[in-house]
Order: sequence, then C-alpha cells, then structure tokens
Amino acid sequence: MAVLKGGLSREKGGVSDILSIAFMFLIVVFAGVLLHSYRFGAINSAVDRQMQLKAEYLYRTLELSQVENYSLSYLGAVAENVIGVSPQVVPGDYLRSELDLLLSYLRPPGYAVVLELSYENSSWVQFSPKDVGPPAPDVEKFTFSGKFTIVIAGAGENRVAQANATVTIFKMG
Amino acid sequence: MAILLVIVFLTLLVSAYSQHQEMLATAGLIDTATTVTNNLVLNRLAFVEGYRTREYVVDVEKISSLDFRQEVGGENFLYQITLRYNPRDETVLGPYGPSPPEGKPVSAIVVPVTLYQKGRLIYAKLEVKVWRS
Repeated sequence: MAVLKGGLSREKGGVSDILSIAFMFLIVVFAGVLLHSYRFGAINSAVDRQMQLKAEYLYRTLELSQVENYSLSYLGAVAENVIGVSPQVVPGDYLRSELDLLLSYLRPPGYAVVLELSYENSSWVQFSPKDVGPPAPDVEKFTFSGKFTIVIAGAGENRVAQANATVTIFKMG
Repeated sequence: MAILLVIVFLTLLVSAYSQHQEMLATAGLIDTATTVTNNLVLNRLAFVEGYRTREYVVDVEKISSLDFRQEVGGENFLYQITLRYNPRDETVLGPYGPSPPEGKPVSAIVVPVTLYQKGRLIYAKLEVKVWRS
C-alpha cells in the first residue's frame, strides 16, 4: 500500500511538473509576442504627425497660392463663391476644375482629401478623388481648420464675412 | 527545462530591446524630417517681402544659401530638397544638396507649399530627404 501510494504521488508530481513547464512555455511565447508587437507604435505615431503636418500645409497652400490666370487665392475664390459675393472674380465651374487639379496633384498617394467651406446656409464640398465618398467613422482623419475673412465693399459701409474652412486627409479604402 | 525557458526568455528580451531601439531611431529620423521641413518652409526658404517674412511661401532664390545640414537634438543631419510644380507640364527644380547615401536609413517627406515665381504665388510640392551624417 505504501509502495502504491509512493508510486501514485510520483506520478502526480510528474504531471504537475509537466503542467507547470507547459504554462511557463506558454508564458514565454506570449511574452515574446508582446515584447515584439509594441515595436511599431513609435513609427506609427511619427507618421501620424507627418500626416497632420501635410493637412496644415495643404490648407496654407490653398490659402496662399493664386488661382491660374487670377490674383485671388484658391480659398479666397471659394469663399467668395460660398458667401455669394457678386460679381464673382473666379467662375464656379473653372474654380472647381482647377481645385480638382490642385488637390489631385498635392494629395499624398493612397490618401483622399476633402475641402469644405461653409458660410451660413451655403457650403462648398470638394473631394479628391471625385468618386471617393465621405470617410467611414472608424477611418483615421487628419484635419486642419481655419476661417477665411472677406471684406465686401458696400454702398454705405463695408461688410465683413467669415467662412469656415476645413481640409481633411484620410486613407482611401 | 526551466533554465532553458529562462534562457529563451532572456534572448527574446534582448532581441525585442534591440528592435525597439532600432524602431525608436527610425521614428526619430521621421520626426527629424518633419523638423527640417518646417524649418525650411517657415524660416530658411521663406519669402521675405519688405520686412515681413511670408511663411509657407518658398523663395527659390534662397536655395543657394542653404548648407543642407542641420543639427537636431544634438545629432547632425544632412538633407536634399526637390521642388515640383505645374501639374499640366511638370517642372522639377533640383535635386539640391548632397545625394542620400546607400545603405543608410533615409527619411523622405513631400509637402504642399506655395512657390514665389516671377511675382506670382503658385502651388508646388517640396520633397525633403533627411539622413544622419
């Protein structure tokens, strides 16, 4: 009986040893996976910062660069359109096609851009590429916003109008 | 067996640490490219109109005054720049500066800028390549 009990306890000890080694092995595997899986976090953050910078630079470029054959900036021309300044310096159709060329030239490869300007009940929304729709809610977006001010000369006094402008860059699906 | 597992774990730790250091260095290079680009567009290449510096407007004539090196965070970096504009019939200015070395990590960034060209402000792309000297 004592010999049997000794045999049984040696077996139980052997099984528990194997189980503990198996768990240790699993822990080592999981630890290895975890240790290596965090390595891309720093690079992804740096790339995100670059994308945010590009959104700002695109906004500034729209704010400063002049429409072909005109002295008005792209944002200025769109703001005039949205605010309803009459007569408009840059015709709407021509402006839209020139903006399409600009956005497709300057947007990062693999990314889409949407330019939005709004003033009271009026708005201008332009996507590049044209056929891309609004981004899905879970898609990461990089946005830069500002206000564009126009002084409208009137008969009696000048009027100041401010349009809200936003440039958004997001990865295409 | 337990000693073997400890040895494997320590090896994994060392390997993960060295990879982590490499990834941090790469992320640092990406951030440095951003810093160099910002400095170029906002300061060194910015168009000066009278007493006013026009940030985000690049003056091509200032490129000749660049030494194409910058110190960031105590480290020295070299860079090369290229400007592209006019999408209908693309014009390329450059590349200006030293050529990127073979076999070394190089970070490249392309940003939209406004170019001062013959009295007009036109949109362009500025490409900056940065590497450790």
